Amino acid sequence: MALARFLAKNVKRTTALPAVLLFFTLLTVNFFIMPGALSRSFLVSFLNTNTAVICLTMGASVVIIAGGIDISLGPMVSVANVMLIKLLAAGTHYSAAIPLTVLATTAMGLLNGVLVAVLRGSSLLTTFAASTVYSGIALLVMPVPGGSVAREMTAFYNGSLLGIPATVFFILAPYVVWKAFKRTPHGIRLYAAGNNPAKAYSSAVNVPAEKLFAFGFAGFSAGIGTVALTSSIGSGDPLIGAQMSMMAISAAVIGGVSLSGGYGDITGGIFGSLFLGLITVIVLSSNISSFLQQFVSGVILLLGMIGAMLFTMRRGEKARRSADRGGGTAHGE
Amino acid sequence: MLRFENISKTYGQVRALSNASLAVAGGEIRGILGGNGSGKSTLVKIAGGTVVPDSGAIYLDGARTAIGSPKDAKKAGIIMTSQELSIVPNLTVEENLLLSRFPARFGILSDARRARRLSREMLDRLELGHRIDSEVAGLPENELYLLEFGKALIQDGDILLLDEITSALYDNNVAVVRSILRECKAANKTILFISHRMEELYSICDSVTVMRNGEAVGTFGIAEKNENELLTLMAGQVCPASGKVSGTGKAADARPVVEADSIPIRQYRKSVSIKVMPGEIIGVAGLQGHGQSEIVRTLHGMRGEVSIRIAGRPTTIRSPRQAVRHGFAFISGDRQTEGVFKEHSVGDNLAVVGELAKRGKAADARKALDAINVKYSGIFQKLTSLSGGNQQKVIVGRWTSTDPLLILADDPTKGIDVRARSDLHALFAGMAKRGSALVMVSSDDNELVSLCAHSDNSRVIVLYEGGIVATLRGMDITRDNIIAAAIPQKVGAGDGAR
Repeated sequence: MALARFLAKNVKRTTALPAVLLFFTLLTVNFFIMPGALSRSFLVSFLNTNTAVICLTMGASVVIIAGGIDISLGPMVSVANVMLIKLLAAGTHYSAAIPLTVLATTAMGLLNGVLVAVLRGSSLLTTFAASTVYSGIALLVMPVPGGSVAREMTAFYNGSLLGIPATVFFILAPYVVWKAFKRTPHGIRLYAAGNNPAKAYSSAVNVPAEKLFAFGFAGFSAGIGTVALTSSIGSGDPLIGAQMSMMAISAAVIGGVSLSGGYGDITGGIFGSLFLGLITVIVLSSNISSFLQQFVSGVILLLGMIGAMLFTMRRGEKARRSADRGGGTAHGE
Repeated sequence: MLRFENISKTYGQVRALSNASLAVAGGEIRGILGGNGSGKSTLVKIAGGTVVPDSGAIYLDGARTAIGSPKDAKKAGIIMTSQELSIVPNLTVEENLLLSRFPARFGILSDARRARRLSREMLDRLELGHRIDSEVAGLPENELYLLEFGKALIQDGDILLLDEITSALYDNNVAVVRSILRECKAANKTILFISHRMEELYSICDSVTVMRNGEAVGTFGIAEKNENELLTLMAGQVCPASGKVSGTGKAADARPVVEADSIPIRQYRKSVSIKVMPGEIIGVAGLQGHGQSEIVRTLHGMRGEVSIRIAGRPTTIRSPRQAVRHGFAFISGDRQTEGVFKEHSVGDNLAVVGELAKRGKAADARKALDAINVKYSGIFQKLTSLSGGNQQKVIVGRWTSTDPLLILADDPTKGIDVRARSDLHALFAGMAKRGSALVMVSSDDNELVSLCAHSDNSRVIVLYEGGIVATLRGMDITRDNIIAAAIPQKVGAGDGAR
């Protein structure tokens, strides 16, 4: 019921709807393939494995809304993951190591932000370069996977708090920060800056500051995602985030965030990443030959995208028609 | 009190302002009149912080004030509207209205309730109350300009710089702006009002400054000079009265080039029919949003499929591309989004639909540009470095080489000075004389009167609520007749014309 109300408020009449429909479609499909796919234990473990990508998607969404793109978020996760493991191995208590990790990724995000927003670098080029640097650092710090985390971290992550799976709180952290930001006047300023920086500037909006926030937020989200991921797998891997940047950006776009900037929100992105996660589950649980798995998940993704596009187009037409009618009555007298 | 002192600004080769000085007192509405490229907009942009001058200073109440950004200007109480609009398409009307000044609680949290009250109040004053939650993307042009005006007002500055805020407005909108400006004047605000419409300057302003070639050539009380004297000052030479060109006169027996039995005017669920003869000039008039734009845009294939007859042959137009292939030309008044290719040169912009061959393009382009009287320094300069009027001439120039069957124009001279406007009219008239038909929408009734004076083979159709309520020809084409038809006094009025 609460979910229904949440969806009604955040999804209805927004660009997030296609992603939500895709998610629930696959969830239904999965139910028929894998009995027990709607059980709490399945859903929690599904969420556990996808929290990192969800956090990254929120970060990627906000950067795209602000008119940029950040493809270094995945490598950022790699660096943060090996850093966290190394800190713990060096005897740092997790209560210090975790904030340090989040701080480090936020700083990396802000660095991207300064290069893009203040020094006016192209965000694609800048974050591509940064991603190479971050991947390099991760390999330097920990050439081969290994290490372990504090037992408390795994226990907390796999447990629940007040009856709510702990992983949900990791998703909520960036979510709440963004929603709070949107409740300030900066909310619309960031959207304006992302869509049309020149017009935003002449409206007395501090465009670099808004972009800086977006990149910093993405770094923060990557940090939270890293902590979740590290708690979940319990070890360090310098290549762990390599594929995540594109996953996050794709999920954001499926979730209705427009690459032209200034449109969409993070709610859609969350469902976009859940949809991507479900594709993997379905492909794995339906006993498809491993040679075919990649092909099949690619086809599902493409079909999903086409469906979402058709849906959005049809809705756009409807909206236009009703806008015409609205205009008519408005001018009637 | 706002004072500009010896402001100069050069863009590349073009000198936009040279030692311009100007002072306006509180409680004064100062009109600024000048041809396109005379430096009016640049002057306003310098005070508004979006352009930094090469030299010169701005004084506020006697104190020299440095303005480096729109933020600085806002802090100093200077609020500017932009001819290019500062409205962002992805936000709603309310959000745009408050983008520069969103009310906050404790200095941080958005105060949605106060925001709603402020915007509701402002929109009601602008008669846009019903649009508060609308997406800006679908709004008609005049409402966008009203919104830009409201966005400036709501910031509550001491100095208002209004750069052609009325250029897309209809008479009823202008009346709203006029009464609001009177209130601002009573509140002792300083107002700079740029407009190309003479009657507005006379009815709104206390005084007027004429600009020419980047200088303020004179400031007068509004009653001191008549219209012709101002135009002469502005041009620096005697303004030629628009002469009457005799039409081809062979229209009577010719077949219509284009006939459309049913052009849907969706917002009124009506449709109009139109028959266009070769070389004919048809002006389309009416109040805001009564379907004028729909006619030209539908004919150009911009509103989905439309069935028409071209020289008697039934044809379906599905897209602008097809329309162009059938010999239609479309000229939008909304240059920024529908006209120019911003990052490209004057020559490229001219050639985009023309038949100017790649080789020898330069020579041909120069000839074409000279023929249409464009002020430019080189065909490889960026189009956007030209003034608005010259940009629009280049856009019209695109089509002159193709000898279009039918020219469709949607308020093409919006925001263009009187001289460039009459140049464009002459250009249209010349094309009509060579056989192109012209259907032109205008938000300025006077313009249609002077356009139609170019040819005997012309008429004005007036729309009201999606239907043609009057057709005026010859001596009947006057501003008064157009207005009378556009605002029917009672049911069935409108001169009984079809």
